[in-house]
Amino acid sequence: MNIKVIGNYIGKFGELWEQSLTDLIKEGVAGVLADAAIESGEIEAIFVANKAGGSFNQQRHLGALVSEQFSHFPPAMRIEGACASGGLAIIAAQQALLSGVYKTVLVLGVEKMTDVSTGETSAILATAASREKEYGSTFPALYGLLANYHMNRYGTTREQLSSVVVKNHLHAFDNSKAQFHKKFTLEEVSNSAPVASPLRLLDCSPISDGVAAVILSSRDSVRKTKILGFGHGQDTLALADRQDLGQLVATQKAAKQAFNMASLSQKDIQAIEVHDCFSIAEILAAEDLGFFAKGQAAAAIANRQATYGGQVVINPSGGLKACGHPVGATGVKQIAFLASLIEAGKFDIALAHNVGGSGATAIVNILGKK
Amino acid sequence: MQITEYWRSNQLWAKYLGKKAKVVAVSMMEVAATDQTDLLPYAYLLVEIGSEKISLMGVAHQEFQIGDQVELVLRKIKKESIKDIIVYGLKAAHV
Repeated sequence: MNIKVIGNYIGKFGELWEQSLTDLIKEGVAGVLADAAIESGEIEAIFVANKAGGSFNQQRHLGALVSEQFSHFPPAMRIEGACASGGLAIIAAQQALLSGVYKTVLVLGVEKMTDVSTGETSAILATAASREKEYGSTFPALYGLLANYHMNRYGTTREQLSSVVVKNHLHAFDNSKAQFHKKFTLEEVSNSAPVASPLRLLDCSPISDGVAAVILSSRDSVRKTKILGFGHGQDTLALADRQDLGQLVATQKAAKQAFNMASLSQKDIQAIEVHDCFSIAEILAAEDLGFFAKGQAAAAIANRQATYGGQVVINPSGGLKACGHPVGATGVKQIAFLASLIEAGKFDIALAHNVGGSGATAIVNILGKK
Repeated sequence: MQITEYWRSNQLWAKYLGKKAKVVAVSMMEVAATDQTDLLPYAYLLVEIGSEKISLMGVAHQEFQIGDQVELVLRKIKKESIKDIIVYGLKAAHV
């Protein structure tokens, strides 16, 4: 496969009061074009990842909003798959490049979430769950069910959940764009305000504004990062329709496809960005991606096997938990961040894992040095 | 909740109302979406009814554990408003 990441840009994540949705888009477009050092006219198509601009900002039709930043108005489409919108936009761009229709495309993920109240945000985010089968829930509650089940079945402990959070907040100190640069102790996480048991406030990724963008190309480039494989898995929208609450099958399917395409195994991967929207989500991801046996990831993370010097570095950016989670931007940020680490020579092969909803959609990408 | 959506959801009442179920997983919610904030705290449960699983809210302030036996009852599932219908739905209650 001949797809290279020839440009990447991540804006600062956080509560960006002074920036509108359009401001974030302008920043992302300018930033990624500058990083790629190409003319704007070379962008042949645009894939925009955004979950809920129509609800958060009363703004839909984001394809046109991004396209109008270019004087030649390249064809653009918005792609939505809840928190996996970014990963899906990357997949759509890859398929467009592999088809040969385009040679160079922009993928831009953006979300402006902080202009509405927390209650409204919870309601907007909950629209990614099954309206008919999960009424009255929130995403913390749905992941609370997964955590409750995992703890009961595999003996995962409260302290092990907290160890995910402590690690990711430490990793975020290496990422200048992260929303939080703050250390927490296991006790602080375990005693933070309850949200949806067993999950507490510090188990949850934050509400964030942010933009991330990458330029993918099949043309020759001096840039070092190449897409080695990708996969896309689906499962039922509602948790109640799943056979086993202890595993996320969409992640397993996506990982299998990506590893087969790349002709690689978990042992070849040095770093992974996983979808840790909640602490339990990182534990499930580490298991379902095949890095740890089922029921063993929590203990491994607590035993420092998921940081520098361990088996694999999980969430070097700080993950969704500490870097922030502007929903539509997250899947694109993962690719942009890993590409920047590969460009810098920090890792040779890395994997990105983006999830929508409570695991109904999963995208896996494997990136490597070309 | 729109009236048409409410009417469709009512069709499930006859299937489940009064049935006994077993708790498979549970989360006690302290934060909810705008429509449910007045009902907090409440549990959100995944329960098994025979070979089928469904998820639903628990009756206000009741706490549950995995393996508990519950009964499906009818309660308000959305905060009341003078402008809208009062929305009832299935909830889990201790037997």
